[in-house]
Amino acid sequence: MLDLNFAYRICLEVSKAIIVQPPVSDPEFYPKAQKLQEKVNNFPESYIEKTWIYEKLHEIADISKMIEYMRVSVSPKAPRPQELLWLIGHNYFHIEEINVPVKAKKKVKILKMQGFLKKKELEKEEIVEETVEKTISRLHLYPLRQWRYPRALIQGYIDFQFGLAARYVLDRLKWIVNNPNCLERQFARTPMQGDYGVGSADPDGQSPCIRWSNFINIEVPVQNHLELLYKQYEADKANLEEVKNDPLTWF
Amino acid sequence: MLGSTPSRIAQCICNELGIVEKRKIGLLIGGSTHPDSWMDFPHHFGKDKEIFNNIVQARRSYLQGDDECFHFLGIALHYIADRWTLRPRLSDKHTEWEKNIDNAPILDDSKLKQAIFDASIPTKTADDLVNFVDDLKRGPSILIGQDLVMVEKFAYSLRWIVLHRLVLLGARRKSLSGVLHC
Repeated sequence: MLDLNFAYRICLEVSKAIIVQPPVSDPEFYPKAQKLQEKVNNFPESYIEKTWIYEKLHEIADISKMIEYMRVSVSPKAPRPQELLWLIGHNYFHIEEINVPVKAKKKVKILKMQGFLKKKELEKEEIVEETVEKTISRLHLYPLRQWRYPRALIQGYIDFQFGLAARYVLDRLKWIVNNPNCLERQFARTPMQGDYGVGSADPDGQSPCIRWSNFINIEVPVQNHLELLYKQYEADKANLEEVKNDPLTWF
Repeated sequence: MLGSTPSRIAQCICNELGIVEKRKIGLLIGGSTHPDSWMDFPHHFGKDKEIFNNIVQARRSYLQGDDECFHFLGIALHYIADRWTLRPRLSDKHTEWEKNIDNAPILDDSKLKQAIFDASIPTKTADDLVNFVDDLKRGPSILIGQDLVMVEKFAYSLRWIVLHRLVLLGARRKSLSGVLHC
């Protein structure tokens, strides 16, 4: 008897939570909330605007270092990045913030003695070069291993001076992975999975990849537009979270 | 659970929530009995996904003004009710137990509390159950407490308050295991 009574009470509580009208009188509340969710889910594609200015990834990030890294640090016989497919599944890329020494030019005031007969102390400005620490964002990337180079390749990386650009590229890759209509998304078997092959279908167990040429041509909005994009996205996300977690408006 | 038990629960919920339209009542009762014809037994465990999907579907349909929400809700209630009732393993005992459940009355709070005290269970457990009855009445505020810590991570990952509540109740029920079937 107690079983039934507790089951009834829990069913009643669940029903109350479902059959509850949102306090907002707007009849368009749910369609609007749904649209907002769609927009947030489709980030960053849904936030970019045609009128913005864009730069290609290879214009804003140093990709030469990656080629050098693969040739020098990994193996002189390592293939060029453009010969490889790059894994873009969520396990395979991440951003790391690192401090690197950077040479910077700085203006300093120097006191110098001048004059032939009568020496006079004069203050002069000179430009000197000094090493400072700068925080950069490093995007780690993993190539699809091939039978030809089973051990040579471990990972590569690309450095971004501007952290938000790295974050955008990462978010863009996530969008590519999750968007079945995206032509840049490709699937390939790893050597562990059998024959190496590439296709645009989404077969089970195959790894999503991107070609190097598609990767370095990812278009990134310029800094102020990027800041605007993330500001809008964070505000929409917070708004959606609030609506979804409210017992009266959740869905 | 016999087919008449979930439909009785559904009918009582309609009375409690003031649902009077025949179509809505029919949809809720129909939904609450349909899972038994799908032969997807057992219903007492492993149906979290079905509960989750049907509750979300019910809520979304409700917000769209679609009365099919009552059907989805009925399905969810069937699985919830089955999960919250224990099940003897032997088939003859199971049938007998189902009949007992079907014949048991749905009590108001004061009568239920009295029944808890009259049951042959330790006083401490009876006190816990009485508190549990009151907790259920408090709605979302029952989320505040030490059980919350236990379920917080899982519920937060689903970002869904109703399941949050269900999981919390599940956690409490687990701690009271072996008592509710008396």
